[in-house]
Amino acid sequence: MPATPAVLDQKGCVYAPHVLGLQVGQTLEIRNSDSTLHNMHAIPENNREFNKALNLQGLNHTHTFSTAEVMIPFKCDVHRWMRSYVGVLAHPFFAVTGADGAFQLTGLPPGTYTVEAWHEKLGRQTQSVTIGATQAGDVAFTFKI
Amino acid sequence: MLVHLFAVLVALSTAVLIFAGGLVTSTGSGLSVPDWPNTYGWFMFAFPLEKMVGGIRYEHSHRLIASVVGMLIMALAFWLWRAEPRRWVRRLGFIALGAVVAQGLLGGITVLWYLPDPISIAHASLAQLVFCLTVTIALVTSPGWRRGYRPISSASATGAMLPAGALHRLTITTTVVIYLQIIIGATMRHTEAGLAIPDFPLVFGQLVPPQWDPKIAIHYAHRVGALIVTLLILATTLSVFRGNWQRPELRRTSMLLLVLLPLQITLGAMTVLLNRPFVINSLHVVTGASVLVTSLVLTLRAHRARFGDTMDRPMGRAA
Repeated sequence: MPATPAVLDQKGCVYAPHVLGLQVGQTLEIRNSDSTLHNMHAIPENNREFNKALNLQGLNHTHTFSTAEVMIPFKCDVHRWMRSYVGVLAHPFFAVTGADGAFQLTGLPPGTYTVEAWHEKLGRQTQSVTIGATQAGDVAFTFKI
Repeated sequence: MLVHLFAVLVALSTAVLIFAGGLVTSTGSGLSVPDWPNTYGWFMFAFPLEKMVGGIRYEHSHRLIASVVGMLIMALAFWLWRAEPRRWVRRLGFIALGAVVAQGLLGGITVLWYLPDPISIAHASLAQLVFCLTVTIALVTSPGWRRGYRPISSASATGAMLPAGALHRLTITTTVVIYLQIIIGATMRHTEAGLAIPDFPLVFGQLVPPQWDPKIAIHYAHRVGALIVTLLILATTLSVFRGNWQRPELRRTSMLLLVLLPLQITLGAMTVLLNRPFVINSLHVVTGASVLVTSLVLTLRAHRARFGDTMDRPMGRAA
């Protein structure tokens, strides 16, 4: 369990980052870096819904999730365009793709795994991958638009 | 007379409140203020105006208008209690006060519980009853009602005409069906089924949906309800024009219904065809409420004789 919190900031009326992963029980720190008001409204299906007021610049709110759930949408009802997604997992093997679409999962013991990829508009895909004792596995997903 | 004018003001303010509530739902701003009764920790009336941004504008304005309407209804109930000779009208004042307090609590609960559909639908439906109560009070305190809609020159002559049997039943049926139609509409709004059927007047290009799911079903029910309401309003107004043309209080109310009905249908069609613009959508809500209270006024006026002579009877209690 990481001791450092995962951070979700609100800056310029946009969430940063847009997609975020953390582990069950890990602290999520929600910040308001804007001088305007935001509400932080999480809409999970398997965890408890919450809607918190972040009414001052620099104000933080912390939360932990008790159940794994991918993804939990977050939105601000004040600024309707603001939306982010938080994935809560029971293990540390997750990643958010970079601008080039690449990702890396490290520290996996040898074995056969199912890797799931998620996109906010294009849905989910899964693939199976086998990792050897000294060998990395490659997996590539193609989403059709 | 003054209490009547004040009751009219209260009824109009209730209509404004319903429009403001429609804006909250139509803009998806219901949870933009997470706390209640405070607003982002501020006492409601101390919330800074410059902080009213985005969805907060609609939600906080709705709360402020609701508070004003609540106070106006409280003043009206107190005024009726002090000055109104008819016991049942005094009771109406307190019923309206109880209803608006319950309405405020429902509004708070639905925010704190993240807008559960049943509570939000109950909030929308009770709003219509509050409007019905304020309009009823405005009506029964009016000079016309007090004199039984007899010409002023013959105010002390015979009582108002009893309605014909058909009109008697039709007005009640129409008002009840309009209210049910509004509840269906509220259910459609709060379950986000307003665009489940994207075309109008046809349904996916035909008369009956080719496939069903809960959202399509509730949307279709609202359209069928609109057709039934249309037929009932036409039958009611026809009955007034054919059998009660000499009663101006019924004739005028029927004409207003015939103006509001096509307006309401047009607003409903525009809501679907223009992808639910929030002002049009909210106007559809408040016009629906106006159709309901106009039908209610027609019903009460048609049954005026049943309320007996209510001219300035002593209050029957110590002043």
